[in-house]
Amino acid sequence: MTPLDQLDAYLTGVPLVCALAGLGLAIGVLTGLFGVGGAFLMNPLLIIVLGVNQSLVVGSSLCVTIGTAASGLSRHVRMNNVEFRAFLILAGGASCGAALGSWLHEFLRAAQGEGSFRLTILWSYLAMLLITAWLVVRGPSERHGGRSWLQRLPVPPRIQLPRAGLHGVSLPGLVATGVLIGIISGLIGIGGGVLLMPLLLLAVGLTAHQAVGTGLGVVMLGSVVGTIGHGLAGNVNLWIVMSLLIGSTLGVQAGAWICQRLHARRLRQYFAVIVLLAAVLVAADIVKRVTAP
Amino acid sequence: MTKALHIAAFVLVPLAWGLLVDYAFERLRRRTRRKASDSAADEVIE
Repeated sequence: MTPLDQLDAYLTGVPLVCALAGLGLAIGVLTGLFGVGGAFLMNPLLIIVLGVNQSLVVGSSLCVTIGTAASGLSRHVRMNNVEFRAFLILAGGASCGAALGSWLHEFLRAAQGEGSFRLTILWSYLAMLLITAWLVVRGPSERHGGRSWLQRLPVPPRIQLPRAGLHGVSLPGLVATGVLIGIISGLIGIGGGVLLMPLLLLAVGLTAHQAVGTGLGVVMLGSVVGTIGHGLAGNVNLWIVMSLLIGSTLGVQAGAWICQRLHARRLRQYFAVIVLLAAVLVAADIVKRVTAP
Repeated sequence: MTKALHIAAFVLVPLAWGLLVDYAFERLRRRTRRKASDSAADEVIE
């Protein structure tokens, strides 16, 4: 494994460890607060600000997410914020969907060509982030007696989600939601936490706090699968991982603490700001690609 | 074999670290809470 001094990053030694730990701390707070992996923010910052090798960044950030999510998940379990039945069904669906999404990614890339395909994906991702931000700010509609999309979906069999107090949730709909998350994360190459929270909130009908806790579980499982794949390809560096983890595991505790003290509406609004920040990063990437000679 | 050990380390090391930090924080929280309730009980006795 390449030591930190030989990574060709802008910093070396102790300053690099401190910078990675500081970045990890900020990402950890986001993970504990919103149930997102934070790769959408961590990857560009590691590449642009610290100059870490791109191939190592994707695998190492997924590996960091395992530790950060495990720490946050354990805390959210104690705070009764995890709906286990929904978590298991969604995680199963997402694992199958991720494999399908990766296949689709390779198929479309071969059909369209690298540059054109990447741009199409970025435009779709940008549109999806903007819609997500709008849906999260709007919140669950009261028009249908407070019933979620999956409770209104006329596709049996139906199940109960006891910890969330939800009855008559469509099981095929829940599986399809997991598969959809998996396909999108496999296709775009993100963990999927950013899209998971609004779907858990609006489609499944969980509260904002339960959406964060349950989302963390799905994100952690997805990260384990992703890390194994990237580890086999030699894209994980344990030195980068441990430096980021020092900060992120402390940050996730702070994030979970703040999450429990925030009102659900305020939590949704802050999440929308994070989604818009991700949209700005994607828009900047699009501009860079379009204007590149 | 070495590759399998590496992959196991990539999954288990962050997992163990994350759970360890959470355990340490939980111990700290419980101790702080116990100290607070002890001092409140002392005030009532006084």
